[in-house]
Amino acid sequence: MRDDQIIDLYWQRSEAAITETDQKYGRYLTAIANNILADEEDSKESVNDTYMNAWESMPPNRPNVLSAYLAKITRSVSIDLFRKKHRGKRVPTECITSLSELADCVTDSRNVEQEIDTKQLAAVINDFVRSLPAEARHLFIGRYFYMDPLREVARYCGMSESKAKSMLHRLRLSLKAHLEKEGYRL
Amino acid sequence: MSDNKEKLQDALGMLDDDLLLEVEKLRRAPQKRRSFQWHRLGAIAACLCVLVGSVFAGRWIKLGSRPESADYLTADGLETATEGAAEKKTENTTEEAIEEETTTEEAEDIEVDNLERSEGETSNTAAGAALPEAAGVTIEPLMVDLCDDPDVAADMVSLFIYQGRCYVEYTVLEGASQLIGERLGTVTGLIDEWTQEDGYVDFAGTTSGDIYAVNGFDTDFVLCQIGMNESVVIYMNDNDITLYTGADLLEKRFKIDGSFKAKSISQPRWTSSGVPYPLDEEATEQVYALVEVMLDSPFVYTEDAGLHGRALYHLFLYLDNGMTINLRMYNGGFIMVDGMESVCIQVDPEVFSETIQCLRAVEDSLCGVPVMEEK
Repeated sequence: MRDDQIIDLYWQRSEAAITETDQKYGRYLTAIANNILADEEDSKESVNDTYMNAWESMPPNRPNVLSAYLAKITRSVSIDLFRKKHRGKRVPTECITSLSELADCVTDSRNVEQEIDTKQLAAVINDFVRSLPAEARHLFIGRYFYMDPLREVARYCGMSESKAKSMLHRLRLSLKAHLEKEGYRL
Repeated sequence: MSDNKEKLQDALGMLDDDLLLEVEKLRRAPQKRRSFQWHRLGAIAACLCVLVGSVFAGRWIKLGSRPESADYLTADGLETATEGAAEKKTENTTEEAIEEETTTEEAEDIEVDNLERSEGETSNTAAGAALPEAAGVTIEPLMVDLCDDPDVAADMVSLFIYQGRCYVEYTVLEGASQLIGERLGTVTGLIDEWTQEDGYVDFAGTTSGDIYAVNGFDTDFVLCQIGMNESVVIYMNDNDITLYTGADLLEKRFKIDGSFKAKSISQPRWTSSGVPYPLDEEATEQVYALVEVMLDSPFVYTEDAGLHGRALYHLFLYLDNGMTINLRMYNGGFIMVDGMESVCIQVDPEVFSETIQCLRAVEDSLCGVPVMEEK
């Protein structure tokens, strides 16, 4: 079924919307959840929460790209679940790994209180990502949005793991510089 | 800091849909081949005699590599080197014919990669067109060629023979005992500068003692001995190998995985027993960029590179796996790995030049006195 037809089902409040979504995007969303949670049961729970969230948000929303819309929900729900269950623990998942990598973009500024508007920060990051060459852009999004393992990102970006790792390191430093230029000292 | 990282992670979840869609398509697509993968498939040897590193004042022994300079050659040696060069040209032609189809296909990949780079990474574009194709370099198997003059002696570098390969001392690592692997045997130390070719047998060497595998590395590339104060003496085999791009050495053999610390020192200070300097953040970032470029850059024969003068800088990459890569940077964008003097990697001169500037800035700031440039 086409995405616009699935969205119509949501708007018609038809429960077939969930079935069709699961059939078309179930595996895709489970993979995203599993990257973050590294747990089959938790991933299932997260994907189910995604469907619930989609059901509650359509209407009023009518997403242009359904897959991206659902992916964002899954990512957000999974991260919330992960933080709730594993706060302060070093659980070996891509969520923790990518989070620790993001430390490169952050200055240790615990003494500097700064109220950060996540949406504004997201806009600045969007600008940064758009400014990147395609290869770097794909690598960055694959690693930090989808949280795909390094090996996997390197594979679909067509480069070696070492090159991917090196390029990501440079990208994080560039992002940090970009954020600072925009007034964010995270 | 933790909260800020999480805020960043949350903000990354709000990337625009079209950006996500790009990657989503890529994730579903079949595996994309690396642009230089084909080079690894068709390793047909191009013959060239190259010197491994044993330089003798009287009896010349060539260990599968060609001499560093004509001054060291006997008449026989010169003849061999010339013949080798001729064979190299002939066999390269054959190789090109065999791989023509693959080459064309992959050349398109390279073109696409280069195009993508040119869109966003201006540093790689200016002189990129001048770089040669990665035609590959081959370092020949061990050969022993003695000089006729029996009256002259000389010191030999530390080496030994194992499974028909010649391992030459590469570096000494402190605090790297985790690298010491399985014991493979004991070398006898029976090779000297008068040893005939038939004396170059397994476990013969100019050094003696137990030899070990190096954990995490292929035994046909490096082996080790335990040195003074529990240091690890690494021996490298650079015989009978073909290298196309930097990845063949740095990634495939040294197992560089994109994470390392770096130090450097200019040649003048190095020769006066200086100690390498740790790099600042900017220089480190630049060295990461250089290594990234090196992975895709071609190997060339040092002789063809026309290197003259001393190295500008020595650059040391300390890998997480415990190994160190010692690099020498020469004018013109040529980078040589210690222990493999007969070949070097030719990188984009602009990236090279930017790196040199960063290294120079670090050194100047630490020493307070600018380094004299090599003429």
